[in-house]
Parts: sequence; C-alpha cells; structure tokens
Amino acid sequence: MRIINLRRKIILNAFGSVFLIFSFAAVVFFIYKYKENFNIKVQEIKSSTINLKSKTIALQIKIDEALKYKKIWDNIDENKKNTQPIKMDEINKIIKESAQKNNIKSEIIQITVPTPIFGSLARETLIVSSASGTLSFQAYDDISALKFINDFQNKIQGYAVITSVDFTKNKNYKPQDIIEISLGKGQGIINVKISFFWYSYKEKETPENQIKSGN
Amino acid sequence: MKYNNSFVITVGESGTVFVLHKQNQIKNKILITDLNSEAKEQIEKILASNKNIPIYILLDTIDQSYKKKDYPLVKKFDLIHLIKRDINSEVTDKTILRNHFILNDHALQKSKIKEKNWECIFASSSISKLSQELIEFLMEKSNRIIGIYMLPLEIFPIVNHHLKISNENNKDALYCVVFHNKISATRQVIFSQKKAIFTRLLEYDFENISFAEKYEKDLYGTFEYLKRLFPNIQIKDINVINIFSDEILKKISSVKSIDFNFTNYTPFKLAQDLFKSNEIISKESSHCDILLSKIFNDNKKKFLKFTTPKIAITERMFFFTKISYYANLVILLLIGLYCLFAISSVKTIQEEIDFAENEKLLTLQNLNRTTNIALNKAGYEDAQEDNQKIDIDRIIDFGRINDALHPSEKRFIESYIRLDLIKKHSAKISSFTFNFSDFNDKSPNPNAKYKVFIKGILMNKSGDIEDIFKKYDELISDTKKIFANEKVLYTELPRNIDFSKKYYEFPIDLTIESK
Repeated sequence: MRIINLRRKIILNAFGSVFLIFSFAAVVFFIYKYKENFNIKVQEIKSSTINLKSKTIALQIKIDEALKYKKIWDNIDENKKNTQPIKMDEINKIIKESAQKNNIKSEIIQITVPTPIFGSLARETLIVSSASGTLSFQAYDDISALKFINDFQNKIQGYAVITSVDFTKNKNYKPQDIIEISLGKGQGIINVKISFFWYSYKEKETPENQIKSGN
Repeated sequence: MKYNNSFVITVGESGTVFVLHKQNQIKNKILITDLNSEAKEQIEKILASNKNIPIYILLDTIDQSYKKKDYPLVKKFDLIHLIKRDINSEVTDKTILRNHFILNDHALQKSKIKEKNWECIFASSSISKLSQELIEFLMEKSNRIIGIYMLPLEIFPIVNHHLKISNENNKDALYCVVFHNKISATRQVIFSQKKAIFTRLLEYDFENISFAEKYEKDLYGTFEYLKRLFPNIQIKDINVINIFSDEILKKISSVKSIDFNFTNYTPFKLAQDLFKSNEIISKESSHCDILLSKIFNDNKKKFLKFTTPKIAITERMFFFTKISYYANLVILLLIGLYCLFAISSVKTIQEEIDFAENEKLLTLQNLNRTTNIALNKAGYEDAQEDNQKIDIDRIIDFGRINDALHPSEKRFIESYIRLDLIKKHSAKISSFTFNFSDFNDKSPNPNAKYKVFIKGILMNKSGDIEDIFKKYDELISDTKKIFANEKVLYTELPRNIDFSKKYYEFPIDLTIESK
C-alpha cells in the first residue's frame, strides 16, 4: 500500500474530521440557540399567562372588595363622596346653619391648611388630605351639642374624626336663664371644645381625569 | 458467511507462489521464478482488480532460525521486558526479521505445578533479494500488506487435524510434519506443545534408490537434535506426519525402522480432509504449496507476525486511516442522532408552546369574563349612561377610607349615647372628656384606643346612706355591662363615711378606657 496514498487519505480524513467536528459544533450551537429561542418564547408565554392569572386573581379580589364596599358606597352621604375643593366660607356656612338649627352659641372653628397624606390612606383614584382643627361652642344641653356635632360631621365634605371632646357645665339653670333662653337670648350652660382631624379628598390626576377635565 | 479473502504470497528458495483466495475458493494462482516485468504485469493485473484484498507474505526459505532460550520464572510483564532487551542487544542487521514466542506459556497457565522457567523461542529470518524486491513492488500497489509470516510456524492446523483423527493425548509427544513444496524443497517441521520449535529444509531426489534410506537417516538426525532440547525424549514419542504423493509414500513405507509413528497423507487427501473439497489440489500432486497457502489463509489466528520497518509504517498509517475514517463515521452518526433528537425535542417544545398559548388564551378568556363580571357586579348594569358609571376603584377607595375613618369618626358620639344610662340612675354629668390616646392622623387606626372621663353628681332624694350605696353600685354595674368591652375605672365610696348624716347627692368620677 503506497505510503503517499495513505498519507493523502489520513490528511483527507483529518480535514474531514475537522470539518465534521465544526459541523457538529455548528449543529449543536444552532440547535441550542434554536431551542433557547423556543424556551424563551415558552417562558414569555408562561410569564404572560402568570401575569394574566395574577391580574384575574387581583380583579377577582377587587370584585369581592367592590361587592363588600358597594353597600357602603350606596349608604355614604353624597357630600362624603364629593371630591370638589371646599372653601372655608362654605364650612363656616355649614357651621352657622347647624348652630342656628340646634341653638348653639359662640361657635368658633379653626382649621389648618389641608396637606396630602400618603400613608395607609394613599388611594388609587384619590388624594387624601388631612387638616387639624378645633371647634368650640356653647350649648343649652348635651343633646343639642351632640346634634350640632353630628350635623357638622355629616355635612362637611369627607370625614371629621374627633380626637378629643370636652363638655363642661358651667352652672345649673335658674328661672331667669329659662326666660332668656325662650327670648332667644342668654348663654348656653355647656361649653364644648372639640379637636378634630378633617380628611378631605380630591381626584388624582390620571390621564383619564385629564381627558375628562380637558387638560 | 464471512470468508478470508486474501492474497497469500509464499516465497521459497526457487520461486514464489502467488495465490488469490476469494470466497473460500482459490480464484487465481501464479508461480513465478523471477520478478521480471512479465510476472509484475501478471501480478499487477490481479491486484488491480482486487484492490481491497490484503496481502500476506509467507516465507518458506532456508535461512529461518529458531533458537530456544530459557528465562527464570519471573512475572510475564518482566519476561517481556527481558526478551525485548535481549532482542535489542542482538539486533545488528535491521533487514533481518525477528520475533519470539513463549513455548510453555499455555502449559504454565493451565498447570498448577510451577515449571522451573519460561521457554522462549526466538525466530528470525533474513529477507532475500527477491523478497525485498517483491515487498518494494507490492508496497507501490493499492493492496494492504498485513505482514510477513514463517510457513513452518503457521501449519499447525495439520497437526491439529491429525490429533483430532488419532485422538492422541500425549502432552510430551512431538510431531514432525514432512512435506514437499515446489518453490523450496522438502521440509521437516517439529511441533511441541502446539508450537513449531524446529524446522529444516532437505533436498531429496525422490527417484534415487537411496531416498528412503536418506529420509530415515534425516529423521534420526532430527531425533538426535531434539534429544539436546528434550533429553528424556524417545523415538516413540515422535509422530511423523508425511504429506507426499502415493508414490513417495510407498517408498517411505519401505523404511525398516518401526520406532517412529508414521501417519501418511497425500496432499489431495489432506485437502479433502481439511476443506472437504477436491478442487484445491490435483490428485496426483506431490507439492503442498497451494494446500499450505489455503491452510494459512483459512486459519483465522495467524501464529506469529513479522514486519519490516516500512510495512510497520504503512500498517501504522493504515491504522490511523481506519481510526480517522471510523471517527468521521461516528461524528456523522452523532450529527444524525443529534439532529433526530433535536427534531423530536423541537416537536416537544412546539407542543409546549401550543399548550402554553392555549393556557394563555384560556386565562385571557377567564380574565375577560372576570372583567365583565366585575363591571356587572359593581352595579353598572343599572347605570344607563356612561356618566353614571362609577369606577370600581373609586368604590374600593371610598370603602377603604370609610373603613379606616368611619369607626373613629363616630366613636365619640357612640360613646356619649351609651352614657344615656347615667341619666336613668338620677345622675348629673358636670364634665365629660373624650380623647383618643394613640390616634395617628397620617395613618389612622380604626381601632385607636380612647378614654372617656366623666364627672358628675349622683342624686339621692331620700338622703339615706344605704340608697346612695345601692344607687352607686347599680350605676357602676350597669356601666360595666354597657361598656363590657372597655375597662371601667371608678372611685370607691369612702369607708369613713358618716352614717348618721343625710346624703342627697354624691360625686361620681368614672373613667372608661378601651382595651
């Protein structure tokens, strides 16, 4: 067998081996990449599915929550739902009207400027602001005082959480006091001083709201 | 059935026999006495038409030498080292073919009794000019030269056949095969323990009257030589297998000595026995060249291979060619298998994608259904116009704000209303204080703790001290009932009270604390 022929065969086979090894590596690489792309696609679909599932679950939770709050929504006074800004004059008007209705005297209200809060009251569609305030007045009896406070809480926009109340009776009624009260004069015998936090809210600036408001 | 296809070239002293064995038949045979251009042309023609058939060179030359050497009973690995060292130290002429085999290897492995030493046979032969030329010529051809073999070492199948027929089992017996080849002369080959240990080429004139006498004399001469190797050997231990024509065998049978055990075959008879064929050799032939070539070809286990440096190189290169060829084949196979695996796995992945997409679609449908339910359940079905529709998030936001603030907003009024019981107990409240103790305006807690302080007077129309105690106890008891979830603190009536005195009113001081 000729050595030169054998040598040629070995060289050819070696080149063949190199070519095949490269081909094999290329095939392996190509298939690996191909599978990897497929796997990425599968993962994308799976993560998208997971996302949709979690959206569904979140929506389901929302539905349950919405159903739970639907009754509350129906029972909440309209002024509690009001998200329009309220001016101090309007608050004073509410106080005056309620005071007149409940024979309340010397009513004085002081409220600080509301500041937005972002703690547990941070909401998706609303910005909740809080302001602290004090309200002092005189009443002829505790029932009138309570009614006045209740009126104030119901008529004012949002929630007024009373954090402290002081009812102090200055004196007992005398016949002269009753005559003066019937004439619409005289002073109440109960001094009331309440401190409260007033929570009001306004619409959050979302793209939808901006469109609605035309901005 | 797989046949041993090969060219067996038997090189003798007076010629060369070129035999093509193919599919268990002798397809071609050429006898050449000189490697002239005509012979070359003939050989080339046959080789060219059978390029893939390998070539074996079988030497039936006179200058073959077999030397026995004993080695101590060392480990076989060490023995091989010793032998190699001996061969290397003896090599002076690299054109001489050398190799070795261990004579008692089989016996040592089988026997439980340890022999004293290893018996090794060194075989060597020079390469004649004709052989050299022939090898050079064959090296230029496409056919592969597998190696060079010594004829005497490779004809054990004849002894084996004899053993089968005669059913002999004498381990110490020696077998002397005597045959005549056209390309050399008459050869004696002595076998011990299934291996050739000695051979000699003899010139006989079979027509001569004294042939039988010379034949007998040569046998005795061989016996004398063997006695040096095996001191205890006797003539009866030597079995002589003669392979000659009937005519020569008749002459041999006239030998008077009855000491040797003779077994006679004609080449035709032996060919018949061994290959069950009448076509290998003619009935009248007295030459064994073709028969031995056939025996060598059909023997799958060649006994001892010799090689020249050039043949060794081609063999090594052939080995690498084969290896690279099979490696390429394996890689191709791997590529094929990997592709198949990839196709099947792509199918699986495609199924996985389809499954994932279906699942996604189902989830999306579920989401849409849930969204519709959400829109309906939020009460929007009642809303006729778009501007009446309320965002579900708005409901939740108001609900949560209400949850957080409403309990605290109404805490004071609820607490005060519950105090209505005090009036039933003829008590007058002079001072009422309510406050949350841990209310955080930034994060209002609906269960914020609170305290209520009440100061007043308990009225007692009778002025009787016992009524005071009774009314006070009733007031405290009822307060505790009403504020069951709160802690009620109160001042006890003093023990040093003057019982002779009338008490129309008595101060009360209550503290109600959420738990």
